[in-house]
Amino acid sequence: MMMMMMPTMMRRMPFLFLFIGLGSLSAVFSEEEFNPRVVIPKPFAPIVDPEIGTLEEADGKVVKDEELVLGVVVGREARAYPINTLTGPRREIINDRLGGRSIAATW
Amino acid sequence: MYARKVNDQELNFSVSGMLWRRSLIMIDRETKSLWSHLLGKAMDGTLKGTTLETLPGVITTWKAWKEAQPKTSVLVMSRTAREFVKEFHEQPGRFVLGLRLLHRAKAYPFEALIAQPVINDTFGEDAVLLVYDPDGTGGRAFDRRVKVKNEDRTLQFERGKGKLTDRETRSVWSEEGRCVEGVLKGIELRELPAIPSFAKAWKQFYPETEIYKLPK
Repeated sequence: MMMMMMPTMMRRMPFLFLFIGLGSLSAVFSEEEFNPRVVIPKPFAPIVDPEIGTLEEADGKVVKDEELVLGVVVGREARAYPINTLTGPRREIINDRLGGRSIAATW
Repeated sequence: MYARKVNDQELNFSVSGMLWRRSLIMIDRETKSLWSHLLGKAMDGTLKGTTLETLPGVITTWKAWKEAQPKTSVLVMSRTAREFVKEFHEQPGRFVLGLRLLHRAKAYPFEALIAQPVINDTFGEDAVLLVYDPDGTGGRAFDRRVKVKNEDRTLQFERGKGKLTDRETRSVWSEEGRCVEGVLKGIELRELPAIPSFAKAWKQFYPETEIYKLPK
């Protein structure tokens, strides 16, 4: 049992020291080990300059009343991103501009 | 929802093809840094340690959104799903509305939000308000401290007859956190970034997270 726990304990030790040393919870919080797993070998191309329509153009065609949208307001501009067009790995992130700012629409 | 300008450079993000703690890793085309989608933070690459500014996005129905924002524009793209994310309603136990403030994280299970659509909570030194829209699946978070005539006041909210009001002044508030009627008219609550997330992924990212429990 102890043998099995050793690698975990060793990995955690530096954080423990940081924690004791700085007395800060944030060190434990943010300095975690980053060990991502590759699922798809190559990144997808970013989605840039997406097509944007007006409420009237989209209403009932791109998106229906009961469907979900991701809504955002930046400055004086509002935009809706229909969730049913954002599912699947190729559509996770939309690089867009709104209200004079560069935004990444994702949820 | 993130702002994507870092040190005056506009970044273009995409899906890296990697996962970390069950959640997406993004990559930016400009520096090839790897970013945690949930934390909004560069975990590797030249921008390592940089955190993106989170913008408050809301998930709600199209009907509710277009009524609240009659000048809204809309992303026009082909459909990828016929009817995704009825899941929030059908399996609320799997989702939380996650709130992170400085070094604190707190999760509000959708089950709790459905049972109690207006939550006045205290979270560390912060007084927060969670409002769940029963017609959509939108949940929003606000700071419920306001300044009235240079005086700091903490308000308690409730919903009666479909209207959101504060108990102190009985003023009426919109779902977007703006006071529309009563003595506080014109005052806006500061919206806090609340992220709908899988409960499991949230707990993995924020092992120290508090989890809101309904009062008994």
